Amino acid sequence: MLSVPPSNAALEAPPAPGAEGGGTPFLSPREFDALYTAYFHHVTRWARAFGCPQPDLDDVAQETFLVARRRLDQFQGGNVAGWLYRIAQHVTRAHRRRAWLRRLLQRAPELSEGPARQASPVEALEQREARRQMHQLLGQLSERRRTAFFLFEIEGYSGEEIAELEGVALNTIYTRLHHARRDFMALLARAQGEEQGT
Amino acid sequence: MKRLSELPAEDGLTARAQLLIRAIGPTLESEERRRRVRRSLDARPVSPRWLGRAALVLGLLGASAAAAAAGGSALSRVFGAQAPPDEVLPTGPTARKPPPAHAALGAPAPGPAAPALPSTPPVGVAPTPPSTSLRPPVPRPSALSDVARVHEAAKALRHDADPERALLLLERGAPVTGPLAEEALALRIEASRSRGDGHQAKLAAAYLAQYPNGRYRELAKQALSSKKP
Repeated sequence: MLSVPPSNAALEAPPAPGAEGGGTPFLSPREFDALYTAYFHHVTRWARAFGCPQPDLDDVAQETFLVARRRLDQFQGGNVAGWLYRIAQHVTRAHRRRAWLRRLLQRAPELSEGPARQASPVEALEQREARRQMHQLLGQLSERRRTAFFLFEIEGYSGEEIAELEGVALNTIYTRLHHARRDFMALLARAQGEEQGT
Repeated sequence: MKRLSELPAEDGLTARAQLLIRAIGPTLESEERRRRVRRSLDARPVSPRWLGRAALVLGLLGASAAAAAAGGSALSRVFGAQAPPDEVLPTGPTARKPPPAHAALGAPAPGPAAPALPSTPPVGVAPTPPSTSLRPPVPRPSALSDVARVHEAAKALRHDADPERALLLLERGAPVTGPLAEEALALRIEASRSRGDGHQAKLAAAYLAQYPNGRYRELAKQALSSKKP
């Protein structure tokens, strides 16, 4: 069964910058510590939804917080989760561009997902094959649809949370999810048809 | 809106989709990872990386300008005023030709292209015909960023099977620094192995010393254990 992801309550409880004082909108270094603690896990989940390979999550998370720390004084207040989400998005995109060269050098597909729970070699093989197919299918969705699909279906975010992160209306997210699911099922049906045909 | 995993698996397609979603699974929360990244983060300077890169680029530009000036004066000593600078350094796919022996010896060259006097500007000088070499030109390293050099070298090695060109790109000029330094060293090992020049062991040892847990340590270990591919 799909395990229920941990609560996303941290999205509603960020370190409120300048909220108490009503003045300074930027984040102080102490608030950065709170930001890191509250959002580290979210950043890794977002990065994965943006298409970051599992082994590179540490690098992307580190780079995201490095950029955030550098830009603390530029933060204008408001949606801190959305601000961090956009940084993670840019960092992951840049990382994927560099990863192209690394994959070329390593000649290895980006399928490593770390040690899986393995009961037997057969189960491990099936898991590996399922992950390979899932990556292949997700790779064919558009970036917006893939991100919404991944966050909703796999990471367990709600539509409202995704809308807040993306800074768009809830109905926009539901539309993206609807189209993403339709595309995903069509691609899966086609893949199954090809498997049965061969 | 219900998630796919919450829907009843009424048909094989939905069941398969649910299986795939389970196989990927949500990102596991790892306290150890959070601490590890925090340690690395605290070790990094706050100043943006591009400041260092900008300084490096400026330095390279300065060095290349100085080298170009020095090279230009040396060439002009050899050629006199035989050809304008754009003919001395062809930009197209031509191989650089060595100066003719008669020019180095100071003897007048036969044909209409020979200058009457070294100090007079050329009149009606025929341009050097392009070489028929099929190999793409190796750009001067100073003209390329480190990322572009590694990119070009990877293409030369993987697509063109041309380790000579890959090594030229990586070894001429300043060593590659920055985020792709590790890739550059790994490429040099691979190119050196392909060429069989015997340098791969030294490069591999340098790699393992610099990146003991690097991404290409297997390649380095193989290069250390076998001298030729």
